[in-house]
Amino acid sequence: MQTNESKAADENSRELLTFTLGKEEYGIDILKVQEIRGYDAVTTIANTPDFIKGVINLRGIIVPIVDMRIKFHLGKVEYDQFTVVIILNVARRVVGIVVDGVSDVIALTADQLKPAPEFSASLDTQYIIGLGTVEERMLILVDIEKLMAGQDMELIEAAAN
Amino acid sequence: MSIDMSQFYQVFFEESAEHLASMESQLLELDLNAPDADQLNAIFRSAHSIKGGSGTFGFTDMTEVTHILETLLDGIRKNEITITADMVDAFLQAGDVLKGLLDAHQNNYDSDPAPSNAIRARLEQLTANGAQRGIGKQVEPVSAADPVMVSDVTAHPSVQHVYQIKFEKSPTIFPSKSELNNLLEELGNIGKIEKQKIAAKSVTLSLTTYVSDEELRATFAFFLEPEQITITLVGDNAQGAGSSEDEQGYGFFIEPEALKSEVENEQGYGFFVEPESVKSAIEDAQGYGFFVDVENPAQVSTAIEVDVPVVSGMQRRATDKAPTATAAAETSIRVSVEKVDQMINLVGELVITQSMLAETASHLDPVLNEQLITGLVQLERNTRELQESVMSVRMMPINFVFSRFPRLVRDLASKLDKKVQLKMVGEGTELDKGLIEKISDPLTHLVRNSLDHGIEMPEDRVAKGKDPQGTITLRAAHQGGNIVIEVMDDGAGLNRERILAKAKEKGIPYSDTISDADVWLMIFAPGFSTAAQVTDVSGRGVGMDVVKRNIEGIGGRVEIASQHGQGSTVTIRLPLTLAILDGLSIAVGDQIYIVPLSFIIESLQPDVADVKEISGQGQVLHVRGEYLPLIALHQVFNIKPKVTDPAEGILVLLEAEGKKVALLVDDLVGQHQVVIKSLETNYRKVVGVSGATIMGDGRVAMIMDVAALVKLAQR
Repeated sequence: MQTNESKAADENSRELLTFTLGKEEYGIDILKVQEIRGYDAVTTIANTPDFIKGVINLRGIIVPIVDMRIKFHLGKVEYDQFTVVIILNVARRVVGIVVDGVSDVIALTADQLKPAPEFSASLDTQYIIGLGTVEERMLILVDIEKLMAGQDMELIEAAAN
Repeated sequence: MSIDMSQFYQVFFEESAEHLASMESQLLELDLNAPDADQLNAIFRSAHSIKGGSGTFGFTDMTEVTHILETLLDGIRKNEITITADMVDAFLQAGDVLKGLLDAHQNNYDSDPAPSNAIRARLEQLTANGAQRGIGKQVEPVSAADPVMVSDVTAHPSVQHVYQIKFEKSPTIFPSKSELNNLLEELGNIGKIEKQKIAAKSVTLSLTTYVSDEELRATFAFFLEPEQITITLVGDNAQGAGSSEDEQGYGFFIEPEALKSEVENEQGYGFFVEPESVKSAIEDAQGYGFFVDVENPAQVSTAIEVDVPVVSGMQRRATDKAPTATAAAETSIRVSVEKVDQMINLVGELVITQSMLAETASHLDPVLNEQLITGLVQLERNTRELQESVMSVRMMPINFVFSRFPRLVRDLASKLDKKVQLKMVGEGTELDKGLIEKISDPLTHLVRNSLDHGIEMPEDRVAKGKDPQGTITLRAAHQGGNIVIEVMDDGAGLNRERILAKAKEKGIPYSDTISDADVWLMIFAPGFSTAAQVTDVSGRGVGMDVVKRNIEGIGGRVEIASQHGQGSTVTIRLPLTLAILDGLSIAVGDQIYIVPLSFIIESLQPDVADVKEISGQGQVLHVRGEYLPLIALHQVFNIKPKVTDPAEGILVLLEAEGKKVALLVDDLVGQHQVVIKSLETNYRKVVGVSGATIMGDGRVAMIMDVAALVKLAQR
């Protein structure tokens, strides 16, 4: 699994980590991904929405975990040895998201990127950068930073803006 | 002047603040009947250092004040002038003025010249009066930055030189008239100008002065390059006696070539030394290291400063006498607090990892794994020692806080016309730097309170058969894992009736059998004051409430003991460090929470009869005559508990901000020392939780915010 390589990003292409959530495939900027790990030992936080599972101890740092499958109402969720958590480094914080599965890292060139249509089932369009086509796959490019920092995720205190 | 000095301002500000503090504390310690020569010298040197630094940075307002201060101090330490209480007061006032000026420079606002003018006039007056029996030592009249110092190589302060000076004049050198006027003013201050001629491209004049050729050139250094000036020594006039051994070689603007010979043993500050000659110069020079590496201003920004050279300067003057208490702190390094915090974090991690290992190892067969277990025991010992050692880095003696009180007490006592002496015990007791900053304000308030309300007027004290001089004692000591600070006074003590009357007035309920200790606690209520008069010192009723909150905010507690007519003692108990907490882990459902021990009164399993229901308000627990609201933790945190009936669970009695509650939990798990981790770094503030910690098995546990919980019970 390729992680952050130091080869210079082409002006035309961006590297994305792709993961599956429900029936769809999403892509996020690889540079925002810190690591990928399994799901275990989550401590619940009282009085939080159900999609915020709690916090984990990530080598001494307390990291909150959000289950995207619950957030986007993708049906029944289970936690087993195959459950994947992507640890992100966004908005100057470290947060983790639970997804169905992680695929691979691909480079998307500008011509493979199309703008997103105005409607969207689970994800608010303001978070979608566009749609990418790679072979036969359709990837939904998400601005993961905006998504995690947004009010819906309830990760950040509503600042006085 | 081509060097940009603003990057070095910070060091100057910090050091000047230290000098001012040291000067003040030594002035307060001076015995006027037999002033200690060492102390006088130390005070003189502090003033002198400030003058030098402020001169370098062009803070002429400070230089002017310190110059006169220094002259008078010099006369005193040379036994030419006798020191009086009036002079000490003037010196203290000068210190205040300098603090104000320093603050103005640091924060970039203009200061009011009135106090400076006043103190200068006062000091000059005292100098003139005192010098009447002196040998006629001249007080140099100075009003601008006086860069010219006497060097031991060429100048003789008793000999006047007459120089013929010619220097270039152009719009690049003097962009406007004021620069030229400044230069001429400076020259006028170091000597007498005659035959001044200002032409289109040059200026010629004749100057009669005591200073040497070197210093004279140095005066020009601000404005001109050496080749733009021509100075010719025309003649010398020997004049009067005057002290000749005066090599206060300050070496400020010494030319680089002359530097090596001069700076060897002098207190050269190495200011404008060329980089190459720096190494030799700084070796022995008591350089403050300001411009040590002109190529590496980065060095200044990490604020590392070696204080060792200062000591050799002090020893030089104090001959072979043991250096004063300040020298005891000499070999020190100035380190930024972030680095220390980082180190503390890492050690905290180490403690956690080590306890995880210990926990894992505890499940192993001890016989088979003997070596491993022995090794782990050793590791635990090493880790604990490392942790203590690192924690102690952030510890500073409480004297840092106590040191401001002698002055405070002195000023306040004289303002209130009371006679008070301040005793300090255990000022070497150490506590965490973070705590020092936070304890300072509450302590100040307590001392002021004692002075204002506690200690009576001298006449009243005599009438009561007490010593007219009251005593306030500040005591600090370690006790268990805490530091205990006491503010004791032998004043009037607290008046139980007055307090109860006030409580009644404010509608605060109390039982008739209320203990004295609890009565005293009432004064912490917001807006509470039994003072007959509100003074600008205290009496408004805002202080004690804030004191209590501040102290509890840093994890401490405050108690009062008092005897009517005898005095009162306020005791503050603080945890030794902020990052580590003693906690009791409790279980509710399948979750574990940590309750800080400092809030726990006791835990018990109640009788069914003691748990009462109040309709519409919930349950209460009857304990020793009191009724405590009962909070079920599983309801607050929405957890599925193992027990819902209080009689089957365990009740933990908590107290925060004077209010008590009983918390219903499933079980008590154990007592631990935990490292506090922030939840808010990556998440956000959670109501009812003050932080998180990592337990021995690697899991995260939440630390309860008891104060918030107690507030919950109010609703």
